[in-house]
Amino acid sequence: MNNMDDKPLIIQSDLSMMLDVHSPAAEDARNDLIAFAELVKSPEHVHTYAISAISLWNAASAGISVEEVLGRLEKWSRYALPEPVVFHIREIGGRFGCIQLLPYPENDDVYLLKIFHDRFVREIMARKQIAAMLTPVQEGFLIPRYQRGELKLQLIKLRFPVDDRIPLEHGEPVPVAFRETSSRGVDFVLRDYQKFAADSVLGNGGPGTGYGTIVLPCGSGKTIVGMEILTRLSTRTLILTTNVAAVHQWIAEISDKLDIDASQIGEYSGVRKEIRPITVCTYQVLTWRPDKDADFPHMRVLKEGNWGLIIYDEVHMLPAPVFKITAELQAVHRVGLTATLIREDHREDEVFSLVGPKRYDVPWSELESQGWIAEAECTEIRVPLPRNLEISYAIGSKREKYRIASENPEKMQIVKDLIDNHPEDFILVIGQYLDQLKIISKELGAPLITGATGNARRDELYRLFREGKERILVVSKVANFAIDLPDASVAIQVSGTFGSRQEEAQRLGRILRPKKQSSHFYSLVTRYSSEEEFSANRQKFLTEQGYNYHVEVWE
Amino acid sequence: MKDMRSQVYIWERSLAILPDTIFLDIVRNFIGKVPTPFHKPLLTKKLTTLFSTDEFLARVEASLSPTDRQLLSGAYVLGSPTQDELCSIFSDSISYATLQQSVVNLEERLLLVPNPDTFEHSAGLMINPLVVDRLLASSLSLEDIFVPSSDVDTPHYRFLGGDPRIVRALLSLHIHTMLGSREKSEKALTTKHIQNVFGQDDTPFIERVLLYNRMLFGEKVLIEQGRSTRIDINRAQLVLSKDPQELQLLLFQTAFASMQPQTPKIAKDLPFRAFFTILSTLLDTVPVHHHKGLKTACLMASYRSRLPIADMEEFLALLSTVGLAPMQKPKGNHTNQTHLQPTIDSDLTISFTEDVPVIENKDLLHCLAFVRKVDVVTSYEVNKATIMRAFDLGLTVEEILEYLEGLTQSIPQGLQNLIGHWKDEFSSIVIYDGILVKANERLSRIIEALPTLQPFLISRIADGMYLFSRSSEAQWREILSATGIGLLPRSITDAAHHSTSSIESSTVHTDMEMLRPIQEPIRLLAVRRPGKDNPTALEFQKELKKAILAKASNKGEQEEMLARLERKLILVPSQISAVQGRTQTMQASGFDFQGKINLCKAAVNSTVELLELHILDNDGNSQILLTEAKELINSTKDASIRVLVLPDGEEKVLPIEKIFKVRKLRRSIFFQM
Repeated sequence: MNNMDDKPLIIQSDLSMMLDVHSPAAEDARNDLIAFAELVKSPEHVHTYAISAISLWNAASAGISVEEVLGRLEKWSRYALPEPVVFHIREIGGRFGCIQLLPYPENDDVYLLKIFHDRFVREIMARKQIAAMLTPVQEGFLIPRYQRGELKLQLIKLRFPVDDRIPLEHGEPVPVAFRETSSRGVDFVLRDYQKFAADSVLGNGGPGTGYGTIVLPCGSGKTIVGMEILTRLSTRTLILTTNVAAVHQWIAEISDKLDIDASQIGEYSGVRKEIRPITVCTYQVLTWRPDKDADFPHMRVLKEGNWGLIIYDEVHMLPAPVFKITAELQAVHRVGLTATLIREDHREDEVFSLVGPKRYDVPWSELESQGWIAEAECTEIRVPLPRNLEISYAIGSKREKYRIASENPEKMQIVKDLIDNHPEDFILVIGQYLDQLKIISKELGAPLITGATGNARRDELYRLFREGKERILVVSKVANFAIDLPDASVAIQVSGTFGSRQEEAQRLGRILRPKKQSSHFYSLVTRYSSEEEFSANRQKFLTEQGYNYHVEVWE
Repeated sequence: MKDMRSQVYIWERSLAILPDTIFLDIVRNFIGKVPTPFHKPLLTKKLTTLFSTDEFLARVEASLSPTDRQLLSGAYVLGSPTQDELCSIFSDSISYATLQQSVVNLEERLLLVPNPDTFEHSAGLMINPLVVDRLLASSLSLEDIFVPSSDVDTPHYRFLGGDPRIVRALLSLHIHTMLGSREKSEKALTTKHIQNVFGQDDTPFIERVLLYNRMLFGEKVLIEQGRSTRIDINRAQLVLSKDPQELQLLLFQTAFASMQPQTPKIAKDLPFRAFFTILSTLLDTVPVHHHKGLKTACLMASYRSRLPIADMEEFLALLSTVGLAPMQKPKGNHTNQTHLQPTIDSDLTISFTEDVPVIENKDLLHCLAFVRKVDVVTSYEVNKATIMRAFDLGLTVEEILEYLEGLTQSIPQGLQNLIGHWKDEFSSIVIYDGILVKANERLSRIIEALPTLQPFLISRIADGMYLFSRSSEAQWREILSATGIGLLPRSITDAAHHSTSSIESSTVHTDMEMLRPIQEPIRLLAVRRPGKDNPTALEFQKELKKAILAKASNKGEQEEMLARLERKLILVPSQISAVQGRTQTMQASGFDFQGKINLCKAAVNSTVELLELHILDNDGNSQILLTEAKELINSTKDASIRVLVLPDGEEKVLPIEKIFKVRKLRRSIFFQM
């Protein structure tokens, strides 16, 4: 039971922080924390935040001093600040500002790097890779413009944050604003959290602002946040997303909600190669090349478009070659959008360094309680393995075991039963293995969308689903991300990519658009199999967001 | 405090044990000439009367010097110290020679008297029982021993207290990650991964965690079985139920035993507990800010408890590992804040501040959850593997759910049925530890029909094949034999392999009451209480000196009485009378070479006298050594003396010509060494 005077924050000596969400001041404390700490998890009772070197430096770059950070911690901390915490914050945070990157008026092709401590100079110059980028001059060191990102990345790896004082370029102006009423005739108002998210990236427009990553739950309108930033900057904008269907969704949304002529919006994909003031492009086309030794011919779109803003949709999917080129685009406003910043390759830090730090993150449960995303009931249904597969399963390799469990034919009947239980709902049946999905599609008589389905056919099926003409879609992992199906309210997951947490969250995300009734997420798992273990791992992200899985056994 | 009658009784016993010659010497000083033959009880009574007079006691108080007060305060805490013990606790700040002579002076003033209970075996002293209460009320204080800091914020030494959270975390790590044998676990506990759990990687903390681990092995909570480790859950519960002080003591014992492995038993004895109690009471009662003060406190605790410390610096390092550190008073307004009660989140993380409560006599968190972090907030995670392990340890679904519900008030919906599913899975195969018995048809009939055998029969596997309990083999063999089977085949069980799971009573007694008597004096001495308005020593000494000058019949008498006045042996006019024999200190110096030789010669192998030798060291500085004379080498011009230097007993041979002053001093008024 909380006392009204209780402070909500408990600070651990490893710089993690526990926010007691039942404390009356929890919300105010959260708002103070997000500027310099990252939300790690947000289940129903105790939320965890972490202060890292990068989060402190990002806060410093946005003008929040070490003393301000300590003041906020002192203000909200339930107990005295542990001494190591104060020491570390001062020690780590104090590094910011010791190295500055400045314009070099005498030559526009280079920047000036100033290092204020001799010890830092010696340490940095001892690294051959960094030393090779630097040319000593009287005032400091010069670096070529295109190596700005790479240098910052290398220095941050050495725990030297660069105070980048070079203003971002504004690109060619593109006048654009939100319509008061969308072209579909719906009144449009920006939600508070969407506005705060945009504010958190753009800040006051000074150095250290204008780039960053926004983490918002699926269905909460990340696209709108991207468009808000676009309208505020009103500049040539490149939007990168995961697939053609998503490209079309972005274009449709922009056309619907922004006051801009369709001729100003371009699609740059495998099918079309349009470069216009607002261009939406797939990661796939950027990273396409004729053979593995060749250059990426479409990468020039990024470099040569004179963009003032690049939006990285589903930034957790950013492919490695785009990372590389992003390092060269440090003069451009950059926004990363994602619901689940979990990379199985653990390159989250690089996303933060190159695209921009996490500027805004909100617990899913909070948006759910405010009605901005649908309430979802998650159920794991455990299905027995048929007797005839028991031996195959027992003698199979790990991978074979997982596949046998995933493709358990008993799941078919459950899918049918679940569909029967939801006669009014729009349903997605989502799976990993094409053979399994084909059987399900055939048995249900429902259309199937996989990687092999042509873009036109995909768009057509999504359209039919949105229009209510198809009630059930059977989809492979191509529908994991960036597909907006507002009316989908039931998802049945028949198989998945091993223990992928973000896949599970993204799949749940397909049914989180707010609607009158609750959404239902079913995960079918073979009982007493390795699928149970993988399933537990898959659920981690969502349980950390406060989702409870109800487990049922199908007898 | 004791009543007057018992104090007089102890005082009389103390005087009664003194040899007549010593008794007479003492009495003469206080009550003047004594005609022989004398009546000892009568003289004792006279002394008792003198030491009960208010005026005399007021002068006793007034005559106390700072060193006197220091020594008497020390003696009060130590209870019955030897002269050497009393001197050595202050020898860091005052020279040993001065201290020793101050103690002798307190003896001849009868402020320190022999303790009749320890007189025979340890030459213990005690404060005169007739004056102790009076001195305690006004003159004695721990502040005389440990000089307090003027700044209240100065950190002072305190024990951190045992931390049950670390114990629980270690148990959880052993249960759920199988840290393995003692050796393996010691390695594992120094890894980064494990240190992340505790959020600290400083060496003293890691050493403390290792010590906790050793303690768990030492207390047989963890039992090595080959490469693995078995956990005795009941013993674990016993250790976890200890209060922080008891836990700290256990840790201390473990550390002490590892420091002195050849005498591990001492760690379990009462002196050890007494040591710890005295030290922690001292540190709780008076702020000890400096290393020197801590050393004094340790010495006092060591002498009082009779727990020897071989190497003080090593011992202090051990205390630091155990958790003795200078700590500041907590600041700020955080004291009224509510603790985070244990809650379980949907990701099955249990978080809480402080430690978890015992739920219906059960303390199971470590058995069913894996420790993630021990910090201000401690967190544990429940998952399939941890619950399976809990089943392995014999916990039932009901026990687990009851415990979790009691602990967190509400548990997530999903967890209840998850645990049920895990139980189903766990039960899908059962592995019995039993003995397979194959019997012929006739015996099979007996086995199946005999009701007394049934409790030991785990399962009937097939015709004539039975699985019997291994742990009750002796019993069912006896029943089988009794059926007339005759000679049964030899047992295949190695009896030694199976240790009983009965809980031995803890070797550590938890009765702190036993130690209350030794905590009392420390608490009584906490601060000095304002004394009565007594005369100052200077006033009455002036008056006594006048009286001596008037009364002395010759110069010798005058000098002798003035010397006694100087040594505070005369406090009231009734004591002014010449006593038989010399009471002045004999000394020889400068060019009196023969005098020096004579004094040395007289002191060689003396049981009652010491030599104070003033010499010049190599740098030309004057140095005073208090010594026991062992041998005079030559008595000519190049004579030397072989001595043992006190208190360490270092042997030295010193040429007499290098000694510029020799004083022959009393070793003790009461004791012969």
